[in-house]
Amino acid sequence: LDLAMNAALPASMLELLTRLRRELWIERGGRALRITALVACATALATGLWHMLVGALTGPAVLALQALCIGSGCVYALLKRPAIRECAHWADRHLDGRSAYATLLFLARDGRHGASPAALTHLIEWADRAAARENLQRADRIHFAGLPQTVLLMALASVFGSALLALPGRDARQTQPPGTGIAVATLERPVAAAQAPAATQSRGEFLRAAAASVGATHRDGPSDRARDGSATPRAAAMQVAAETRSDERQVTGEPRTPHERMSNAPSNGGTATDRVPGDRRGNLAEPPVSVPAAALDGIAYGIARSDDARDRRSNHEIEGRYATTSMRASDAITPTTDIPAAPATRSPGIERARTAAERALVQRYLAAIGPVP
Amino acid sequence: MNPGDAKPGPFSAARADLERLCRTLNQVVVGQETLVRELAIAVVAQGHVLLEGLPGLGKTHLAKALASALGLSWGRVQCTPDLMPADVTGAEVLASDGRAGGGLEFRRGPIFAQLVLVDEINRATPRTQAALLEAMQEMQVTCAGATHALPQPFCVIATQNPIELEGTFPLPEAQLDRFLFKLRVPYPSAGAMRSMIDVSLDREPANDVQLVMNTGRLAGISALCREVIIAEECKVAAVNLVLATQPESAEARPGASRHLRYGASPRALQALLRAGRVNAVLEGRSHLDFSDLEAVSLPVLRHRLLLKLESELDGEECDAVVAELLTEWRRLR
Repeated sequence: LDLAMNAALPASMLELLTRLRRELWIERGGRALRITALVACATALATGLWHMLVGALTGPAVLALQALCIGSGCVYALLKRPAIRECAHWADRHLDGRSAYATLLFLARDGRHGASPAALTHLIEWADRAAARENLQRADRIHFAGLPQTVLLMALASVFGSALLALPGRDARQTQPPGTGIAVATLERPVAAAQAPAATQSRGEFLRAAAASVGATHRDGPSDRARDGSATPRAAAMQVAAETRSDERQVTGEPRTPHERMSNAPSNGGTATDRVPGDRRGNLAEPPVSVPAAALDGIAYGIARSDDARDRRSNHEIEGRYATTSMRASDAITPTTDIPAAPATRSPGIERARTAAERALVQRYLAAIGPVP
Repeated sequence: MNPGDAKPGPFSAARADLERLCRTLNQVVVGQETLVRELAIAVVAQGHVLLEGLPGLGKTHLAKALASALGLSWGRVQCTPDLMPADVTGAEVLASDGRAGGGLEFRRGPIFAQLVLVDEINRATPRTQAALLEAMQEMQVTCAGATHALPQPFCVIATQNPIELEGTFPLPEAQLDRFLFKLRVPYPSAGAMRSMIDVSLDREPANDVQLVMNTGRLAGISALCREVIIAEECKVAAVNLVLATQPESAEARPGASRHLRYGASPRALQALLRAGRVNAVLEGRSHLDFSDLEAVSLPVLRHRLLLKLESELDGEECDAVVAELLTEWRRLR
């Protein structure tokens, strides 16, 4: 308001118009921010869907997009400052001004146009009283209608967008490391079978560790097959362990395993009496190995379940024997002539999980077979 | 409480006088508050009123009471098909002083009164109607080459009956335009009729009306109403409202194009603003508001709009069309 209008308008009306200007500005800004929040929500949803369905998006790009939306809304809200004439019209319409404010503003701005002094005086008094009454009513009113909802909406948009972006994108899911098949195996067995390299790798390490342990501790009592070199180091290790365990049972009077009783085979002589026709373990003739079931349950079960469909039959047998205290290592470990090497590229998470869990199991296995006298 | 009430001034005093006038008339014609208010507005705006209503609703009583309350001279013309213009305006007759060769003198008709009630105006012939309406417009009567000015203030309250139209001569649109307001007299409510028994069963209340204001005061209030400030927005809004009724206008609303053959004239615009100013004074303001225009728009416009034949056959009424136009006008302004 310029000085001339300040002089022409009553003080209460000026105060009312100034107050209304601020309130309307806040209201318009709040409305713009609400629209901005909705747009931000829509943007978050769209980017999330894009991230999940089309291609992975980077966080900075999405944040830049959101910032652009919100910034545009804020700038628009700041630019929408209402004119004093609009405030007068608003007051006339909504505050029972009955066109007094707009008329007075019109007279103050464009000259009095020969208005009657009596009429002008009456108009000023009328507007003054009406404005003073409205000022009293609006004195303590805080005009932030809808602002908390706006802030909440924007926060929800941010959280929602962040949550969507935290999920693996489509590209990441397509190039996911195969080792994660162990965890999925119980739900999707074919998928787990296809993603078995990690389990196979663990199994290879397991066997290598066992062979090394046997090589270091069982030099004085190898079995015939181990001595003549016809068996693989793994089989030799298993056989030595089985002999050791059998010797311990004989010393302590511990009964044989049901498997051994049923096959009526000597504990130190690996025969093919317990083999199933068609079992590809037939070439190995490993002796039964007695190990604590608790030590092998987890790893043997996990490895066995992640194997292919052909091995599931032997897995079933293994699971049946887990109830007992003895088992053959060949039941838990599918014999393959070539132990696959670890994949060239593996995710660090998979590497850490294997190292932490399976190495511990190897150590437990070694502790279980114990030092051979 | 209206802000205009706090400090007495000319506008506050005028409002008080007008409210007192309305209260007085409401005691005579019970249950017709809106009609009384609009009639007072028309009289203060120095316009003429066409009252349309069934017989027995108190139209004549209202006119008589108004004349008594304002201290106006009162004249009445009962229109019939054989009523001649000279019966209304007056005529030259032989001088009645008894002397031979006294010559002719103009004998004034009933129209020479400040408030003239023309009862059942649609029963007069077009010739008589034309003479009457010319007097209403020109505020003067010409007879035998001599012009006779009508008294001021001059107000005609004409009545017509919406039924029994056989043998009547409906007023042409050009003559209807001379009336500031066309007011409909509705049936009173049950409570109003109950009160009417106490008021007017055995006496004529119009004869007992006290004087509220004299002619000078009425003229003063009329002059004060002309000082009411009209902002530019209100002028534009009034123009838009009139243009909205004109089917040929670019600003015509869909309702006007659909139902109206002819819209309101520039005289309607003047009537709208004149009546709106009085309404503003009655509201205690010295400035015009949109609500004033809205309040007087129906009585100003309803007799100035000509419906299409098909709309008439469909049972449309001008009041509904005006209400539709007002709704759109209110939304657009």
